[in-house]
Amino acid sequence: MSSRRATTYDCVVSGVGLVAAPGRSPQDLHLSLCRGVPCWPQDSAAPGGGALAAQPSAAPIEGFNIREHLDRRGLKDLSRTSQLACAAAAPLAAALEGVPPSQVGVVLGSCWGSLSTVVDFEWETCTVPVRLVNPLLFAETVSNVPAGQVSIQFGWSAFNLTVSSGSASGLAAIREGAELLSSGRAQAVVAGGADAITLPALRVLGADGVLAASRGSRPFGLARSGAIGGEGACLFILESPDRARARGVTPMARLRCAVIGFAEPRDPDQGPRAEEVTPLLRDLLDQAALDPREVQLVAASACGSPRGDREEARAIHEVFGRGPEAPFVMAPKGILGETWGASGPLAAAAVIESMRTGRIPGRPLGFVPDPDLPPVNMPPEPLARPVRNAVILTRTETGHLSALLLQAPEERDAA
Amino acid sequence: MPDRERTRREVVQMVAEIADLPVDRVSEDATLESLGIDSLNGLRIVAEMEKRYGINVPDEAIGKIRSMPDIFSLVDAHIPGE
Amino acid sequence: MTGTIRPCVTGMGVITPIGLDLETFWESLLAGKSGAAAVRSFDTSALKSSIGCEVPAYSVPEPVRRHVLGGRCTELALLAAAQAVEQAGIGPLLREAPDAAVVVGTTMGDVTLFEQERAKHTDRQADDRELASLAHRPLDVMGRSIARMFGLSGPVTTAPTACAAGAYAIGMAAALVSRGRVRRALAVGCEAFSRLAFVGFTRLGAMSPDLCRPFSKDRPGLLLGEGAAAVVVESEKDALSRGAPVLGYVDGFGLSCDAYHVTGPHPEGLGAVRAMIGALEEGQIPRDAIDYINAHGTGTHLNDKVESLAVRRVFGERAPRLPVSSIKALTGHMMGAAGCVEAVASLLAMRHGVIPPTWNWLEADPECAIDCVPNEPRPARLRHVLSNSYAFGGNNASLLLSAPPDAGGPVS
Repeated sequence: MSSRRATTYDCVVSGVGLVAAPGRSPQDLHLSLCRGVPCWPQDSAAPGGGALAAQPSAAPIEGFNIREHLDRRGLKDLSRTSQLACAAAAPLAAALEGVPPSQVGVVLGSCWGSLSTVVDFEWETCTVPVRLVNPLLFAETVSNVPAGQVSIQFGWSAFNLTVSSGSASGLAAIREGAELLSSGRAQAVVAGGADAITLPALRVLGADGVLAASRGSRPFGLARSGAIGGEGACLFILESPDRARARGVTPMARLRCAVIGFAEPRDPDQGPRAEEVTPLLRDLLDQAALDPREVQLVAASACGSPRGDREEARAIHEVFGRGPEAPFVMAPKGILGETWGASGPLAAAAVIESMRTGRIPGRPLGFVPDPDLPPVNMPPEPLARPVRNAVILTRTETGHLSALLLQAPEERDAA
Repeated sequence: MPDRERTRREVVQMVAEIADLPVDRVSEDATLESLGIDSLNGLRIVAEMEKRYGINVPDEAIGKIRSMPDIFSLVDAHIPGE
Repeated sequence: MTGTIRPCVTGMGVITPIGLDLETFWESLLAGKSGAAAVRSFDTSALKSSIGCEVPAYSVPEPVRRHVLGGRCTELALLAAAQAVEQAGIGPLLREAPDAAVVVGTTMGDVTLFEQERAKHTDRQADDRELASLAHRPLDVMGRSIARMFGLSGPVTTAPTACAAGAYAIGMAAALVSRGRVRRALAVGCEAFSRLAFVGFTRLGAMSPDLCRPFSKDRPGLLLGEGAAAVVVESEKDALSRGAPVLGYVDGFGLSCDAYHVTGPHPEGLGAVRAMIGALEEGQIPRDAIDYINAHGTGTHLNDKVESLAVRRVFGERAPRLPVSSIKALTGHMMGAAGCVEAVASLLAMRHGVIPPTWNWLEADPECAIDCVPNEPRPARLRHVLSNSYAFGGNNASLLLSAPPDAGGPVS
């Protein structure tokens, strides 16, 4: 049988920066999950803002303007992925006070990179003479450039890495960040994910039947027919608890354990089966020396996929059991849509906010459970419950798996 | 307004757009370096001028464009009636 | 490496413009056989430049073909991976213990599928199907195909870190083994010849109209290439206990970011300096123990000047006598594959005791005051080698590679 996969870390989260459809802070995000209203128009005939918003399966960040996040020159012509990543990074610069920028590394997870820029650039090469093609557009097509732009903007130069494994990219990036941190390569790591939803990606996913047929799609719900394409960026500051304390920062959470894995899907509509997900989740708990009943909250990856959600529900049920002691489950993609590389980090940011506020989001409004799924413990209404340990899972139809175990900060973590 | 004057205004506006600066910050004698224009954006400016004014800037000449007056001199020769 | 286990290389594979197997590749490096030729993949009539280094015609055997989830880039990656697994003799082992890791580096991934599909349509809005091939574009398609081919269930990581990606793949794979996260890892760098990259580098004014002449005075620029390389990384202990030949060691992985400019290097090479020093420190070897540097050496005016400067800053007085060569004169810049192919070239150089020279060199450039081993292979016993790779986004990586026990070459 396989060797140990999950890894424990002595690492804390000491800052979160994000941009998502509900807003630009963990509070905005959490509030939106608690309100239970999806970030896309529920009326399928609703007039949208432009071609993207008019897509029935899209939840774009309306009116996103990089200048409102980072008032610097030269950002307006960057790819949307670069802009989202820089916007999420902006609040972290101040939060990293006391750490030399040369001691900060960056790891960004992205599923699509700058896909729309690739399409735009390709189109430009077909339609204008080569000598007039915009060279900046070419630079922005390259998938590691969003992470590179983050380093350029803030001078974070210890290292710079981009990883790509579909919707599992963001948590994979956080795990990689924890690895690089514990290797002593930096004093702090800015790690997370970013993806922009674009017309080409929506068309491809629509043609592949990945997207929801209607705007009423609900993860784990009865009427689910696929995902809603969302977008966003979310980055964490990772550092050792000692260093955070030394610079007077009270951590938001401990990153206790992380795992990544892969299971070649036998059926592309289904992704990894429950039997392939459970060993990773169990190993995550084993390495953290936790009983499943000691976990209060699980943030699921479910995006509304008819068969994928079923496998995930089975895995969660198998590992965490049922009944009053089973952890509560939330499915952020029911509110945010599928935000790809940003999805895992955004879920983790919501979990951290649940730890801080003691409030667990409930089901989206209008949610009807699927009686054919193993019961998933999503509370009908938001609940007041202390969250001490939480698991965040991302799982892609293409076979990638990544999961984190976060713990609420301890008394001794306080600065 | 004479053509030359109008063209200069257009060029200043275009440079300001690419440099992401307000128009009034782009003086007619500025160096590109002082405007924070790097080689990538320098190439964009040349391409934009070729598009707008139908001029052809030889590759060897691109590296020698270092200031607003250098840019003006490229277009001045191509303005009708001058 | 940062962990307690010493990672070694037990299998290698290459698919390059100058050879579709290790032996041919190495012979070409020593004979100066260039991959440069008129581009065949697409029409270059509207372009100033028409020369590139494409991989010669190859065949994909059926057992490989059925695992190709993407296009040309995936094919190249799988062919190189199959060679490496074969040489390492770990095929049966992977079936027994499928939890090996896959780490893939690339720049553009399988973008050629998209180009081909688009070439059939002249009207962008024609219909939705025109873009359907983008479904194959996700950057992880090569990694998933490799995992599928060998039935692997370990982590599949893709590092799309542009022109340093091949070096990242090896460094990340070695770190996984060194820290005991996995017992075995397959690192692959891959890139397919794409029109987008060709036009892009043309617009950046970086392309040579004829040959690539790294470190030579008045060098005309880079040539684009394509290809793939793969290495099997495992613990030295595992390799020895199963009697596998050790082909070399990965002892250091230096990383840095310029945080300076999206396409250009830091003018003083500060990032490159930090990456080299990082690799040396991780391997805990003194600077004097480096016997050769396989340079990034793209052949552009700026890269070669800045890289030479960085070598001088790290090696000081010794720099003018330290052999530093670039194989890109022959292979072209294979982008995401380059770092991996060049690490393989470095390991072969140690094994055979010969430094592959910088071909096409014409005249010394005072701005490149290094010994670039011009135009003639040089026999030498090499104990430790640095392999440098630099990329857009200011992503820098240096690998510290060490010689296998049976390394050849005369001791100087």
